Amino acid sequence: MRESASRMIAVAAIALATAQAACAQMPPSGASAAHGTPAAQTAPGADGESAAQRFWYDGPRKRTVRIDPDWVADFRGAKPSLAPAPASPTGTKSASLAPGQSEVLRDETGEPRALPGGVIVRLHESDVGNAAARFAGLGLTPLRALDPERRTWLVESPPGLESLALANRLHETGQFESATPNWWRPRALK
Amino acid sequence: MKPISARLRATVIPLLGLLAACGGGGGDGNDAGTVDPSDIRLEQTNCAFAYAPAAPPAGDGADPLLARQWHLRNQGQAGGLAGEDVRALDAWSASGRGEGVRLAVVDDAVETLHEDLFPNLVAFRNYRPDVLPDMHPLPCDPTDTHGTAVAGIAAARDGNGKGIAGVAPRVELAAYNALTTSSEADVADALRRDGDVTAVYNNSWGSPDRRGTLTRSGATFRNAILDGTRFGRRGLGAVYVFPAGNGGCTGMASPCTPDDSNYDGYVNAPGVITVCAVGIDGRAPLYAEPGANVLVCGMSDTGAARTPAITTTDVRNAYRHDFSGTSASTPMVAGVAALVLQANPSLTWRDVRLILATTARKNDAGDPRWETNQAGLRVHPQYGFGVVDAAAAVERARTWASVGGSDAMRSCRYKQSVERALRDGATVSDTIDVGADCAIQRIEFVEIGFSAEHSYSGDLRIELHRAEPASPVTRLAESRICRNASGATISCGSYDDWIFQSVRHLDEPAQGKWTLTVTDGQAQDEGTWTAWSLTIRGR
Repeated sequence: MRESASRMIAVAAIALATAQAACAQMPPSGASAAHGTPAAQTAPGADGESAAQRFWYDGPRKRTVRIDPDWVADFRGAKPSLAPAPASPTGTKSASLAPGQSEVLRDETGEPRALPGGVIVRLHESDVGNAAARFAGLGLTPLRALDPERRTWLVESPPGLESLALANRLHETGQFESATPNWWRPRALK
Repeated sequence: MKPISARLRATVIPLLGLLAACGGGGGDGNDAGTVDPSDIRLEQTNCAFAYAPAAPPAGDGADPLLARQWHLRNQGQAGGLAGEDVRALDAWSASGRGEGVRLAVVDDAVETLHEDLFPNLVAFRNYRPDVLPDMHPLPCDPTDTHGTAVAGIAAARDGNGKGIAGVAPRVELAAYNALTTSSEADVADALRRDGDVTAVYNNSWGSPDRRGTLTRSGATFRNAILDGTRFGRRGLGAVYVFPAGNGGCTGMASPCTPDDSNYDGYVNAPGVITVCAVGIDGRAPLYAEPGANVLVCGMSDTGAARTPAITTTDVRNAYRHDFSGTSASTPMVAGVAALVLQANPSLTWRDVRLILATTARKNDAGDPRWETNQAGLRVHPQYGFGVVDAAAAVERARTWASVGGSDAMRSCRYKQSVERALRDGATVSDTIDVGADCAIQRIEFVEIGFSAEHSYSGDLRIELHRAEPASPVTRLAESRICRNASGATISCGSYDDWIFQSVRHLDEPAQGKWTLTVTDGQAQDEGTWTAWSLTIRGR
């Protein structure tokens, strides 16, 4: 739906009372200072930047994201919501998250992502009939199959960076065709 | 209504998850093929609207708002150009109205208890984390209107004496509110739900517009589409319909970065039908995006103020006359796909694409950007092959000889390493010579993979050329400055085997020279073109 020329509706970002409030609280994509020095393309230099970087596997490809300390995602309500990260008494952003919350991460274009929990694993085709044993062997709890062929599964993990780490570990075992975090991402209604 | 306590809910939801895990995908929600009107389950704890837990009363007779639905048959009743429509009413008279074909709306909430939607409803699934999956996926705040409007355009019931008619008004409607959570798992689940019986999945959503950024869809999404086209509908393949987007900047105050649907990873996925919009004047709306992946258009608003938009269902059992964008044109094409499959249920997903493209109506015939490809088909950067023509498509479907499904599709893939410096203002090119080893005589679509290391990827203009014999140049990316919603300059993303889809070579033979040209069209940043690939699919 194209409500107006300037208004992009980012769905699912939004557990807020009104659309206006949602737009107001939507964290902006990471802006760069000028053409030629986009933030997302800057190589990590300072320790803080390196610590903020993470990677994940998008199928066979390794992709980089960085943690945005200014925002947190909350998955405890009827819909996901994003909110400014609470500041500590010293004025710095708090790194502690409540259960059901996730860090906000940004991809190379600055678009936000977050981790509501769960890892999506895709079995090797030859393993489809052996899913239960595969999961049990790795100590995984399957939540549901995501396709009628029962090849792609959502397995349990807590929200936040733990699910990113689990996805990477599972991918690197080679026991699945792929393992990716169950990302939350904004999608635009058209 | 059967309210459940928080404690019971906390117990039941994990149990349902385990049952689903044991029973396979699509095991929860209501997917039995019917909706029991005596067992309507609602969750209203966190809901701004109060719904009666009862089916709306049935009715019969003419649809009172049908005359306002100019997109079904435009006789000039709303102004504009008579004949600018999707010819749905003509299709109905020649065929059924979608009976026996399941069409799923993957969106945010859908008012499944709406008087004009409930009669066609056969399945739903609620993805809200705080409710059970088998509760109706109803809107619960005043902004939650999109899915209800989309569903009405494709699937509102006709002949019930109420409201409007969808393009396929007797289709079996399924409603999945996967965008409520917008998680990768829920979207993938919805795109494969009831895969054996779901023929068409309508998706009026995509990547954010007017940024110009390369937005990846992700492997989970691509696998869902690939598997759905391969295994869906018992091997005939599901039809996935998505919007080209509303990222055009015509008439916009600067800064605005015009989008191109080739920057949107969702509609570059093989198998996706990418849908543009055409206004009541027969022309591209102000917000139209070009894209080599655009196949056909549906109708929508013009993008200008006070011009006719689309009449459809609205929340709280109401109707609206202002629905717009490619969200509106997409369910029209999905509805036509359902009519095509009702006319000939043995058609594959490839057949449906081919029928829609080759029967499309050439709108805006005077526009100089219409070109003719090697196969003699007229194609346009914003209109694809034109506006979908339901009557012609249904007629063609009846006698169409199937080209087969995914397993019968031929693919030829070529990958080339390239070490070309990308310097400001310069153009470089590379050619792949497709020889007799590729047996594809009629292309259906091509995928172009592109890799470059560049400090600002938005500098690059990328074009695909075929010279012998000549075929229209395909613009895949334009030089641009990408901006976020605040207007600040941002990275446009990276070309790390970015896949562009093009449908513009439809029905051409594969053999011959394919040349990719890359121009660094903006000052300041430089880089290296490292590789590209060409995957041709067809028969």
